[in-house]
Amino acid sequence: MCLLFVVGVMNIFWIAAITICVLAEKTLPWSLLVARVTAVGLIGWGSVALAIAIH
Amino acid sequence: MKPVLVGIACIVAVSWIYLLSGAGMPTMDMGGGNVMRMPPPSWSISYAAVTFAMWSIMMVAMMLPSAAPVILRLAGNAEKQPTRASGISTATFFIGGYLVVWIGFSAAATMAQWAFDSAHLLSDSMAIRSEVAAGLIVVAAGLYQLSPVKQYA
Repeated sequence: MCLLFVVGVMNIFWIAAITICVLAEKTLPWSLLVARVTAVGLIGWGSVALAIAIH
Repeated sequence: MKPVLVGIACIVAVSWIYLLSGAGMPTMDMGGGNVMRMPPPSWSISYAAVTFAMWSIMMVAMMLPSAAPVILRLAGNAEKQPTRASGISTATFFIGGYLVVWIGFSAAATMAQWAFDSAHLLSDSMAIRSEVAAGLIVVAAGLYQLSPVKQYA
């Protein structure tokens, strides 16, 4: 949810995307995979953004 | 079971319609799913109330769908019990409890948004202006996804 402060709180695209991610994680049998994939994506994205910001 | 499913679907549909109509925030549509708002000079009680409503309804729209399978199963189980509790009342009880948690989160989010706004940290599209803070939040979210907490949440 805190991601909404990063992308813009009322950004409908991201609201829908996060809803689908949460739904996938909670209902699909391979929820651990979903969690790990999103984790890697988020850490990668955040690290790149930080590297650019601090540069 | 079916009334519970229809009920949940209606709540989710109404909350999404509210979101898509701008959630009461004074905004202009910039296209591409992005929305620019008219930043308030300072927060009034009514703006805080509308913001809190926006967050609460947004949490209902985002989180109720994923809770639906569990609630449907609990309601179905309740109807099979010897005491034969109504599925609708059971579902209402659990949905209410679930939403209380997210409404609490919405209160915290509203206060965080107020704090960011007071420090002029939020852009017109309600995103954090500080790139370092934004990067840290994204990494933290990724780490949270990996944490053991997720297994029980």
